[in-house]
Amino acid sequence: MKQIAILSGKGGTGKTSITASLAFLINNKILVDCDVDAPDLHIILEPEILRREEFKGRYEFKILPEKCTSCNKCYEVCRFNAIIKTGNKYTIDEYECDSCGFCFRVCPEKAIIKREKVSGEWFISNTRAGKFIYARLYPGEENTGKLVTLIRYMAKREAEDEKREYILIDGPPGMGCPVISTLAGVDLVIAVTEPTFSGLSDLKRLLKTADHFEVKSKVIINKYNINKEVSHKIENFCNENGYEVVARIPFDSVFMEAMINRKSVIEYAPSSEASKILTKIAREIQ
Amino acid sequence: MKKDIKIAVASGKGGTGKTLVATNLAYLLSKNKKYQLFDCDVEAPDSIIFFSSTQKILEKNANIMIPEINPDKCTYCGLCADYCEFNAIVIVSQIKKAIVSEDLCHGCGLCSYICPVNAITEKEKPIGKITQFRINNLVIKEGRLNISESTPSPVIRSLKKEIEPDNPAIYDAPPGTSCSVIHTIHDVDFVILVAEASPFGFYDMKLSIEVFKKLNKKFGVIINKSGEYTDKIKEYLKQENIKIFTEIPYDKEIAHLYSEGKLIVKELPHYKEKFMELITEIERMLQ
Repeated sequence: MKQIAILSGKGGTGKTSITASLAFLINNKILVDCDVDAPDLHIILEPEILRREEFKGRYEFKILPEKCTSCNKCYEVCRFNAIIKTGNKYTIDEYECDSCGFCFRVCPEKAIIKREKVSGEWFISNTRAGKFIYARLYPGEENTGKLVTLIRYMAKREAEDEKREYILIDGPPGMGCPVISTLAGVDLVIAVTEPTFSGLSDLKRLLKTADHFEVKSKVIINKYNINKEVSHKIENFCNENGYEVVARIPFDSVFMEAMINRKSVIEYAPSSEASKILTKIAREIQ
Repeated sequence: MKKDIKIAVASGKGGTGKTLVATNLAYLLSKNKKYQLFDCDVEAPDSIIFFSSTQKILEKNANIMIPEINPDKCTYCGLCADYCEFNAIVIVSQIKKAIVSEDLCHGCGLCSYICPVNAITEKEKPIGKITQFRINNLVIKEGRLNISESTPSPVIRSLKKEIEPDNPAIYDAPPGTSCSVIHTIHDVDFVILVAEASPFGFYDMKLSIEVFKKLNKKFGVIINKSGEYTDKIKEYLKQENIKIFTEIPYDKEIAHLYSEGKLIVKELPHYKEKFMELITEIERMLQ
């Protein structure tokens, strides 16, 4: 089984639009959306949900006002400024709280309780492009990495059960926890960049991150004609550092039109130039 | 306007134009007074690209405190491992081994505090860099997560400690709706939400709005890459009674300027007015 992750570093370079088309071009796969923070692939795929589960990502802590003696101990030990003092009343700021449990452990009155918190949900679904697993972390929640790891595990199980050859992953932007969880154990990263200074800077950081975890990367330059000079810069950088540029996709309004019509580019405009390039990409990464 | 106003620029989807808005706004606002621009997108910090001939005035590590277990004192009782919510410590008493997984540690300090034999001390571990640059009246303060580090929030926290509270600031937020966004915006006076006029942009904008409402933040929306889909977004925002500041059209000239790290308010003067109007409107909303 081969796992392929589409990543970008910078947001908005076209990861999801490209993944949506690859989903129709790579058969015998399970599709996963690891951007659990702002998942978008389902907008195109309009999934029929087969299974929905809650994600219990962490514990939450709460101060019971009737037991609290305002001794200030919790306030003293918290390093995340999550204990709010209003006069004599102590509460926990759920957004600042890192769920470390320090307050819970030191409270002499046992006035702080710990309970499991549902911080998201995940789905196994059927789509026009086959089986699709995705998730949604609730706003302001932590542990994106844990949720990514969970749905990737589910995808692997599905792929094994159904004897699939590929797992195709639409990744999150950035390089932090959800990206690292997306990288773990994948066979190939497709880094989608755009010819902007920001795109190049973030591409470099992403490739370094993938190198660190010893995952091979290939590069797609999307909207390459927005600034051909910067595109050349990106190509030079890739050549000098041994990353293969698998495709250059020109800016094309067909991407937006397809999205507005809730279609992948390959469905919406199968004979377009973009579709030809996407077909070539699918061939090269399989 | 409040002299020390703090405004965050945020979006659910990546690549909608947060940095475009934050950098242009910071440039304009710093023309006649001291301003700070915080780049809180520590995983992919790009604000600095839009300012040339800056002077670096500070560089330091963003650290977290991680435990170090002294084998001479440790009795391998396992209390620290039991209490650690992040499974960052493993104690194997049979073979007298205490293992700290630095990557999992959040630096909360609970283990060293509760160790009954004081076998745990803490040491600093750098997980990112904080850099400050000056250009005229503007100080750009950037957080940059080290490659292969996974937790942006401590870097954002360290970065925000660099605030000069009496001077106004713009925060360029990370994309999304999770913890790092919350840590960026929780204490600001106002949030500018940059939404892209597309189905993805619309969906992710609604997620952001959910967060701002939960946090009781005042906010308004800029619609970027405006086009065919703009009306749908406008209709929704009107229905929800949410302020729409302005639209920035999808424009090849803007895309080109952005691609080369140039500020649009410098090159396309009519945007200067648009951005100045934006500030006047925020002032009005905060009154």
